[in-house]
Amino acid sequence: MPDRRSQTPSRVTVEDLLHMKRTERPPPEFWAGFEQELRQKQLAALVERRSWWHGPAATFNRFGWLRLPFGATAVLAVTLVSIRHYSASDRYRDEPRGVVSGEKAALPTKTLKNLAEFKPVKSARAAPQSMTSDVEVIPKSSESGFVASDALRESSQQFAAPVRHGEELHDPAETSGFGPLVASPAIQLGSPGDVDSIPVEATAHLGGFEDRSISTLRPHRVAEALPTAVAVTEQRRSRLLAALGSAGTYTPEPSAPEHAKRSVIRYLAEDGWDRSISRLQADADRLSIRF
Amino acid sequence: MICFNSMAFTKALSKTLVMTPERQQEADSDWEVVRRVQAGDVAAFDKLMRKYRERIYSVIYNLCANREDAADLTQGTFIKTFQSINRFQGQSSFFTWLYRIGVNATLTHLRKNRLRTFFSFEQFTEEEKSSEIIDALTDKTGADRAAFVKELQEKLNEALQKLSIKHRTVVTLFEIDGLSHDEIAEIVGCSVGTVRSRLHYAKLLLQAELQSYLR
Repeated sequence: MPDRRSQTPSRVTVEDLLHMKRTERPPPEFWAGFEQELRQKQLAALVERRSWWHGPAATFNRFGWLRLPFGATAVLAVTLVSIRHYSASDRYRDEPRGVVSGEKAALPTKTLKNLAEFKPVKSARAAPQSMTSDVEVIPKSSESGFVASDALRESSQQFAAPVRHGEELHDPAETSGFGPLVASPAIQLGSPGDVDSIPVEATAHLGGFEDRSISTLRPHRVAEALPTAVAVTEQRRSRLLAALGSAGTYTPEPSAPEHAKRSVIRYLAEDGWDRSISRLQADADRLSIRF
Repeated sequence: MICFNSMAFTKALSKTLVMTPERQQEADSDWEVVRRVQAGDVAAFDKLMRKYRERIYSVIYNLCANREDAADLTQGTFIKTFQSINRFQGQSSFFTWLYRIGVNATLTHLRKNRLRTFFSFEQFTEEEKSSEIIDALTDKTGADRAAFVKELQEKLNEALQKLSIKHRTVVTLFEIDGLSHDEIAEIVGCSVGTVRSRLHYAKLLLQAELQSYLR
């Protein structure tokens, strides 16, 4: 194919115009200054102090070929952890469980309203495996609430928490049903009058349980349930009581799912709920009850 | 040991590029100099710098259309090359590697300063070839001819700046610097087909822009 330009020498193409750009060159003196500047910059670059992260970055780059196996391992680990986490959540969903963490400080000021704020654990991993439901257990309460006793914490022989139908626990000298419970190896509660039934109308403004009424909840029944619901050995019972006493009050686990909270409160609201306890376990800061 | 390195280098090059004998010879001589620099002969780097500074400057200048920026970026390219020359293992030819550093630095600069563009151009130096082209375009002489050349230069640069950075890079490397498609593909990091396609598209755009000068 003949060259078109040779046929028409006067023809100018884009390529010709672009070739003209080759002639856009700096004058020769430019290069003397260029070289001088370059030397200065080179020296400056040599003495420049490198940032601290240059070292780790260089090391990381040196082992760049390990990125793939490390990345794959990380992805695998995350996947396994996720699967384990979700399978635990599924198992938890099958059984109603609630966990109430111990709150040691605010002893006599808790009311029954707080009970309804029970919130079950978010997942089974949050509680020991033997726990399925942690419930606020307060040895003696006023009419509107359970109140854990300082006397228990002090491992006193006599539980002396006041029981009043009031907002607060006013008189620690009053006895409650846990006094004998603590004192007696046979787990006897105090007189029925001491631990009389606590009409629990506190249902409103309770997190997650607003629509549900807890008709009757007697805190001493938790203690009553100790010998019946669990094969309680002397050692175990002591430990449970110590755990009960070590926590002033039990407040609900805030992260529990809604359905679990409902299940727990349903159990608690039923008469004879304590008979359905199949297991009771206390830990340092929480009490678990399996229904 | 040297023979072994040289063979490995040639083998690596033949994998990546089909080079002309001149290019091959040039690459071998560059590799020798690079090895001297890697061995601690810092002065040997000056040889490489003097050999390539005009070409690197030309490429960068045509990409960014600013003399001052082009000078800074060219210096930065050589400094970066010097700093990382120990990592150069001869997988490609030195000039390809150097071009890649320069082009990448320029592209980064252009992306950073996309909104801040100042043009400053070198003067056309009338050489035999460009004189022929100008003669073909105009029969003016003296001051009129100079004015025509200035106007042509402005239009040409304007048309180039209208291209995208990718297209401008390919046009600059192929038409102005005279690299092959293979070399451009290696420098830019794309396939030869992509280079050809970009080049074709860029020329169409330039033709449309410079229609009045094409005869």
